[in-house]
Amino acid sequence: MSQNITLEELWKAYDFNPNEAQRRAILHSDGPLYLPAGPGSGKTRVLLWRTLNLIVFHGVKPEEIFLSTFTEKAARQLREGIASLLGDVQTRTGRAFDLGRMYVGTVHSLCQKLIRDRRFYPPDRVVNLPALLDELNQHFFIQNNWTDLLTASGFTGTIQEQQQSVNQVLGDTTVSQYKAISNATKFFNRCSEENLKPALVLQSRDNLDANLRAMLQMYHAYLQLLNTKKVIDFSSLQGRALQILQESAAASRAFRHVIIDEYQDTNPIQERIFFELAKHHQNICVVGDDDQAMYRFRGATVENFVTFPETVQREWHRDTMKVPLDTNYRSHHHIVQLYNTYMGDTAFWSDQTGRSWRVGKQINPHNPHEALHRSVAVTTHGDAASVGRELAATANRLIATGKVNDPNEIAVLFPSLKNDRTKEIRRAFEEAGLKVYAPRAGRFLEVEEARDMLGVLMHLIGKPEASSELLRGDFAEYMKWCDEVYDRGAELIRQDPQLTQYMQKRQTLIHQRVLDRAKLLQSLAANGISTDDIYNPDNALGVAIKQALVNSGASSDAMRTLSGTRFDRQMRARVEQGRALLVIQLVARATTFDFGLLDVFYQLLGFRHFKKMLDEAQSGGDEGPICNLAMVSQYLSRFLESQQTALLSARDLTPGADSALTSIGRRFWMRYVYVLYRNSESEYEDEEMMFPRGRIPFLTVHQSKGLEFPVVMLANPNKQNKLQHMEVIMRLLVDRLREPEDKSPKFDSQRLFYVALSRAKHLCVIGCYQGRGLQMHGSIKTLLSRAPGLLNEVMQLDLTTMPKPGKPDAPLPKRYSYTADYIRYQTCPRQYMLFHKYEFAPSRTPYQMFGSLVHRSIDEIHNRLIAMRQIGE
Amino acid sequence: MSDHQSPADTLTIGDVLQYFEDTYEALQAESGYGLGPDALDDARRQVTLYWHKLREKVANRVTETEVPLTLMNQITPNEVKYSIHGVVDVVEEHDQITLYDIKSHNVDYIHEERERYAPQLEVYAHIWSTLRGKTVQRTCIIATDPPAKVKQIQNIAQMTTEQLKVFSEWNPVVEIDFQQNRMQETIAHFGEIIDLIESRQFAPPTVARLQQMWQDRGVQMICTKCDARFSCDAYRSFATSQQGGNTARLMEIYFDAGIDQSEREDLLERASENRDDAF
Repeated sequence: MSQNITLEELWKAYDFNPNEAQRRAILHSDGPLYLPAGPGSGKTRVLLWRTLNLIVFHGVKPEEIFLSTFTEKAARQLREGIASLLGDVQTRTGRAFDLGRMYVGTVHSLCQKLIRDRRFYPPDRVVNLPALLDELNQHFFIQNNWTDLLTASGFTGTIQEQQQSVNQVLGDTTVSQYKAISNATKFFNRCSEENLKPALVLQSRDNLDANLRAMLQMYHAYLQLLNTKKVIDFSSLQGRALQILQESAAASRAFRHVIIDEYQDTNPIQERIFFELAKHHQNICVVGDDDQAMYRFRGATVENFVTFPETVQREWHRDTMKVPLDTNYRSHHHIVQLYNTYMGDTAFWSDQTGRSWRVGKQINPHNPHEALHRSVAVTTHGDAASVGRELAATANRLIATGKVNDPNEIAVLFPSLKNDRTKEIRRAFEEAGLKVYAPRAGRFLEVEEARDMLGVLMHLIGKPEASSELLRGDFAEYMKWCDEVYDRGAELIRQDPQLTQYMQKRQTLIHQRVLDRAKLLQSLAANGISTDDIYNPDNALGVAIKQALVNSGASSDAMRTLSGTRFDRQMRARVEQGRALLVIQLVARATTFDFGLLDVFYQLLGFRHFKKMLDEAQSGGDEGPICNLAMVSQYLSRFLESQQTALLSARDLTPGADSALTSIGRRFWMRYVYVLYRNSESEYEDEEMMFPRGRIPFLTVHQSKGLEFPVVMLANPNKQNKLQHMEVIMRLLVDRLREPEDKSPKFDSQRLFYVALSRAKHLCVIGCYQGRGLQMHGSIKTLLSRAPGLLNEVMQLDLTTMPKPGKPDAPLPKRYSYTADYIRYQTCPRQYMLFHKYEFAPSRTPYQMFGSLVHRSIDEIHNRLIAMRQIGE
Repeated sequence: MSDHQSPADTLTIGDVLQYFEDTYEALQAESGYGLGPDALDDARRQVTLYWHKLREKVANRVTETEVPLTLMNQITPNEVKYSIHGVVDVVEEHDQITLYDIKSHNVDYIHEERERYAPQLEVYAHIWSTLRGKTVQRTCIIATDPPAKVKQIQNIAQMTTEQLKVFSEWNPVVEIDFQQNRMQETIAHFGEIIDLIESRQFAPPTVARLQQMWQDRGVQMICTKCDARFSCDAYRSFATSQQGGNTARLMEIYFDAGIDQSEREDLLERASENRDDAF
């Protein structure tokens, strides 16, 4: 215990005056703790101070705390918050704390950390980590092993029929291979998250239908494949972590406190991990809000949270302390009243057995007598265009009267950004002279900067064409996108004479090398040399090969690569090592360019249209375009990872027999970009979202999670929800306590709109629809009829009483690295901006990689030696 | 330690090579980038030479590795709150504390430039002392890139007398004197830099500065390898001014790939390896 300072004194210094519930939650330090936390109830502060209390006043070491959050951003905020509080304690008391080894992060990142934590392995075991596949790479991994997986499944019939069967299991009627792969991926991930053991399920449930059995067999094969190829996906990563926990006695004792934020969005395997982690000390604290659960489509089970005290009782036979955090510090009391009314129907939340599926809490506004401004408003009932006009007019009014500091303080929320209603509302905003920022509205590939850049690239590597009988559905849509992007590229090239000149010169060079390649191949053929022959400079065939190449008439540029002493030395070394090159590889070397797709990308950034986007950003201006360009670079880089080299060759750029599409173009447009185009339909939020100044953010409700805005406009209160096919299947395969089938989708819609409404601080506006095909969700209609006293017509709304905007919250202290920030910025601020701040993907191996390799290898030696010494003692 | 084996004796060169390969594999998987065969050889040699040279002197004495250092509660002139981070290796023996920073630079270069690196180690030493309440006695840089003569030694196990001499004379540990009084200046400057970053001031160095950097080979090291050079006003002016202000040179810049022969060879060599083609 510290002698020099008390928690109370610290609170005072930080001007923090916790309410009774917050105080109880912070001071609690022993046994399971259950914190249902309403919106704006200060739960982050509670977590921060609770952790501080444990470390400073209960002698818990930072590395004995496991603190999991939903996003990396939340984790970083907590880590930095704790660091700065502890820093303060240190200045006041002289006691130092080392946060370096504390477990703070998302479940996924903490699982990765667990897996590589040496403490949890026998000391003599070499820890070999599988490479992690992200979402996109997982798709390609499955695609590459697709036929093997189908074979293992036992599905019968042609490939098309088998794919159709895969799709059928997930309620999809197509034969599309893309769909089948992505359905199988979803199925695998969900099985992993449910901690399902395929062999066991197959054995114990003989009433399953044949297709479902086949899917389970395929999952089984998939898991084995991950193992043999030494890779792991994000979902099965968690299974691996659980396994380590179960096998290592040290692991379940390592964490004296396990604290889980956003517990309502955890999945079954995570629940297992948390209980395993806390098994020994049983100090587990879960924080969450079942009313804000929105990730069922990703496998989250809100049931984890709702039934937490029961689970504790079942696992450890003990009671849980429940402390609801229900004072709201965010919203005007009318808004609080609005969403209390919205959630208040207890009968709705009960199932037939009388069990309630809502933890149930009444949110109390912190200041129920706050100034009498009207904070809830509705538009006139109408269509999207008229709703959009009223919302836009209101936004303009708020900006003109200074009720917001910047347009980015007005959030316009939608269940989904990809529909016509959203487009119409956006149009209305733009017609009213407002700029909109819609991150990931629809596809990234529809973003202007992506279209512009890819459009110009298409003029170098060719444009995909498809015969008209293939032009159906999504594929037709994609080809239309290609056409448009191509035309846009042509326009940009035409508009800039410099760019025109650059493109011509590039094309001339490409053409030259393509001709060279043809000449080399011709000459080899004429001399009776096969492209599969092995090249050894020291035998007769080798001499003949060299002769044929030299006499081919190919340009001297091409021949340069095949001459010189270094070349001969390399070739001899290869022969000795049994890695001699084939003739075709020689040709490839001779006709490889000194540029690749990313080089071209960076060169194009030099031309007017793109350059002005960078210039704008480097002097503190609009960040939107540069963020998008950075993302294009990352997508290009990921494509290149799968290619043989970062450099293009004449073979890559040889046009097809009947079209201008090159072979690199075919791989790029028809496989990679096509999958990107279709994959980006998922509704994943981007957690590092920035809200550029001067623009009104158009967000999905999911994207708004955890945020607050002075003004929120729920522009489209409509969502049709039914039990997802995956849910139906999982109910067949895994027994666990679940929400009733008929009500679960309704609960979920209601939670979604609850999140939307509770984001607002000073003003919440609901768009109202009327007319044919202009539904509103039933629960919202009911709300409007129940809360007439709260509602105001937005066009008549008196804004004069609305409070002046506050200063945006002071951000938490930021971490800056001596080498990665301070030194790199001084080397070149612009390079720092592009490659560090906006994370552009470099075209070549970054020079830091060499240093990292040496450094990390030496650290590894040190680590091993330290571990060995510890055993020795 | 004398009558029983030190851990460094049980660790073999084979283990060291294995760690190296594992690390490389992990780095490749993380970053998606790889090194050419020459660069890879070079890195491998640095690690194995480190092992041979400093096994007992440093490696086996390191008490803590990859120690994260954080200097909390800093504030910039514009009142931005921030913290400073770094990572070091530490040797603590009989209350004598040494911080080691490993850099894959040439040892002669580090000697020449030791003034440049001093502030970093001063700040690190300061953070360490504040965090642990113990004074740091020494700070060193380990420069893992050896002199040419050492590189030429093919077989460490069987060195000629001449080679043995070269090897034993080689000292990769560069002691850096640190002065605590200068540390405050460095931290103040750090804060000013953070203010520039926070206010998003990212203009490149001036042309005049580039001309100066050209003398020290800075442009060659940094700019000509930088992907952003095509769109960089400073580099464009600099490169065209080198050609007497000829603007046609601007177009040439785009076709100057900035890769030298050996890098190109590395790329080609890597391309010739068979790899799964994912797309």
